[in-house]
Amino acid sequence: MLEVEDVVHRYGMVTALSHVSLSAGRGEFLTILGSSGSGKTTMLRVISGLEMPTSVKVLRIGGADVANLPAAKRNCTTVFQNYALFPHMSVVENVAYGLRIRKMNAADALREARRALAMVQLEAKADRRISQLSGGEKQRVALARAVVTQPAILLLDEPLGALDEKLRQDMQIELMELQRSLGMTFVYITHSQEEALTMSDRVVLMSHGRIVQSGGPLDLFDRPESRFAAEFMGYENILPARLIGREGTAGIVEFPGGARTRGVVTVEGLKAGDAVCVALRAERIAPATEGATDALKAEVTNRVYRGKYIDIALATDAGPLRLRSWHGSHVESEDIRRIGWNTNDAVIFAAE
Amino acid sequence: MENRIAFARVAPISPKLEISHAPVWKRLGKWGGFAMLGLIYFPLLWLILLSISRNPLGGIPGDFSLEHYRALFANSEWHMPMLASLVIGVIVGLICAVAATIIGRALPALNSPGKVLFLFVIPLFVPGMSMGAALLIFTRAVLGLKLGFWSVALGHFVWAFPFALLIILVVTTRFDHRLVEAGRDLGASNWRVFWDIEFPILMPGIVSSALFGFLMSFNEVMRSIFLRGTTETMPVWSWVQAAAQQSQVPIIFSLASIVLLITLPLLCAAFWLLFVKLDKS
Repeated sequence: MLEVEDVVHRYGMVTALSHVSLSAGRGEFLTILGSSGSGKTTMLRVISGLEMPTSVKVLRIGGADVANLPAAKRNCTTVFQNYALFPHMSVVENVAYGLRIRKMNAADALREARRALAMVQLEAKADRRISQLSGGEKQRVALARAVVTQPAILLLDEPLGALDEKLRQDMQIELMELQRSLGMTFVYITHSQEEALTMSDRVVLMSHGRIVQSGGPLDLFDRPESRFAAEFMGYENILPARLIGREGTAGIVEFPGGARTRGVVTVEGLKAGDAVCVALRAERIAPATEGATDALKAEVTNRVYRGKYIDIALATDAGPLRLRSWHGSHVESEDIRRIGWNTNDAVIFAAE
Repeated sequence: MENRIAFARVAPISPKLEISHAPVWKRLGKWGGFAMLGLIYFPLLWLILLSISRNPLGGIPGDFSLEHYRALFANSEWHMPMLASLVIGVIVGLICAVAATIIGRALPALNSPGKVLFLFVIPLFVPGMSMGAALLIFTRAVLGLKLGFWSVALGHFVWAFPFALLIILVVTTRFDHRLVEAGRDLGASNWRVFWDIEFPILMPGIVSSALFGFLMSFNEVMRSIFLRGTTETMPVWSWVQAAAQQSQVPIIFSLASIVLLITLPLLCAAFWLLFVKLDKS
C-alpha cells in the first residue's frame, strides 16, 4: 500500500531524513516512533506531499507513483497534531469538505459526513461550531474528516498528544477498532512508546533522520538492538560489559568488576571479546534466594517510594542497578543481599 | 548532614511603605484617563450641539433648531465635492483592500518582515505636504497626468495604504497556515484552498481595510490641496468655505456633524469586525 525507498531530505545544512526506506501493507497499522527532531514528522510530510523531499528513489501510495505529485493529488489524508479544523465551517461542513472537493453533490456529501461523524460518536454535534468542541471531540472530527474520503493510507501525526491520560487511552482503543473495521492502512507518528506498543502491528524507531530499529511491538520492547533503542524503550539499567562466550543466541558477559551473567544477544556478528552493553528492565530484576546460581551480590543504597511501585537503587558487582518492586512493603521490609533475573530478560548488544 | 549550603547574610526587607506604594498612582491613571476622554469627545459633542443651535457662532449651544441643516440641504454647492469624496473614497477603499490583501499575505512569509513593513508604513510619518508636493511632481512630470480626480485618488491611496496594510496584517499574521496544508491534504487545489479557507477567514480584515481606506481618503485634506487641480473634495470645500465666508460656517458645522455621524459608526464597525467578531470565530 505504501512503498518508500531511500528518502533524503535536507533543510539547508540540516539533514532531516537520511536514506530512509519503509513500507506498509494493506490494513497494516505502522507506527513511526521517535523523539522530537528524529525526522518522524518530516517523514509523514514527505508521504503526504506537504514536503517535497530532496531526493527519493521510490514513493508509491496504493501502487501509484506519487513522488512528483502535490499533496492534493495523493490518495492519503492526514490527521494533524493540532487537528487543523476549519474554524469558519461547522463540524459537518469540515467533514464534508473533502467530499465536496471530490465533486460529490452537497446533499450526498452531508449525508456521508454525518455517517462518518456517527462512526466517531459525534453525530449529535454535527451542526456545532468548531470552537464549541472539546479537545477530544476536535480529535474525532479530524479523524472523521480524514477517513470519509476513503484514502488508501491514513497518516496520523501525534493525534493524541494534546489529550489527557484517560482520554488518550480510550482513544487508543477506539483508533485500533476503527482501523480494523475500516481495513485501512494507518501510518501513525508518536513519541510515546506506550502508544506504539499498544496499537501497532509494526513499529519503526527513528533517531536523527535514520531508522534505528523496526519490528513488532514485542521485538522492540524486549529485544532492543542498540543503546539508543534500549534507552528509548525504557530500559533503566544499561551496563557496560565484555562478551566472553556465545551459545546460539545466548551470550555470556563479564562485567568490569569480574561478575558474569548470561543474556540474549540481539545483533548479528558479535563475537567473544567485543565490548557490549547489557540492558535490564528494573521490574525484571528480583531479589534472589540464598544460594541461587547466577545471582549477584547487592547492597541497597536508596529507596524511592513512587506510589504504585518502589524504586530501589542497588550497588552490585555488575555496577549500580535499579530494581523496581511492585509488591510494596514485602520487598521494602526485607534487606536485599542477592539479586537475579531471567536470562531472557538480559539483552546484549554492541557498545557504541 | 553537615554539608548544608550557606548563603551570604541578607538584611530583612523593611516593612515601611514607600511613596511608590501610595494609592494615588492608581487613581491618577483613572482620572487622567477620564480627562483625556473628555478632551476628545467634549468638543465633538459641542460641535453637534452648536450645529443644531440657532446661533452657532456665539459658541454656546441653545435655542435649538434644524435651520442650518435645512440651509445645508437647500444649498447644492457641496454636492459635487461630496460626490467626488465619496467616489474617490470608494475607489481607494476597494484598491486598498485588494492591494493590502495581496501584500499582507506575502509579508509574514518574509525572513525579516519588520524591515519591509517599516518601509510600507513610512507614509504615515512623512509630512503630508512633503508627500503632497512629491506626488504633485510625480503625477505631472512622470505620469504626465493632469491634476484632478485621479491624482487626488492616487495621493489618497498612498496615504491610506499603510493603514489598510496594518489592518490586514492583524488577520494574516494570525492566520494558521496549517489550515492551508489541511485543505491541500484533503485534495483542494491552491485556488480552492484560497477561496474556501483563507479568504473567508481573512474576510473581517479585508472588509475593515476597505472601510479604513475609505475613511482615510474621505477625510484627507493636506495631500488633496496639492493634487486637486480644480477638483474639490468635501473636506477641502468645507475648509475653503469656512475660511472665506463667515456666513457659510453654520452649514459647515452641520456638514461636519453629519460626516462625523457617518464616520464614527463605520470606524466602530471596522474595529468590531477585526477584534470582536474575529475572536468569536
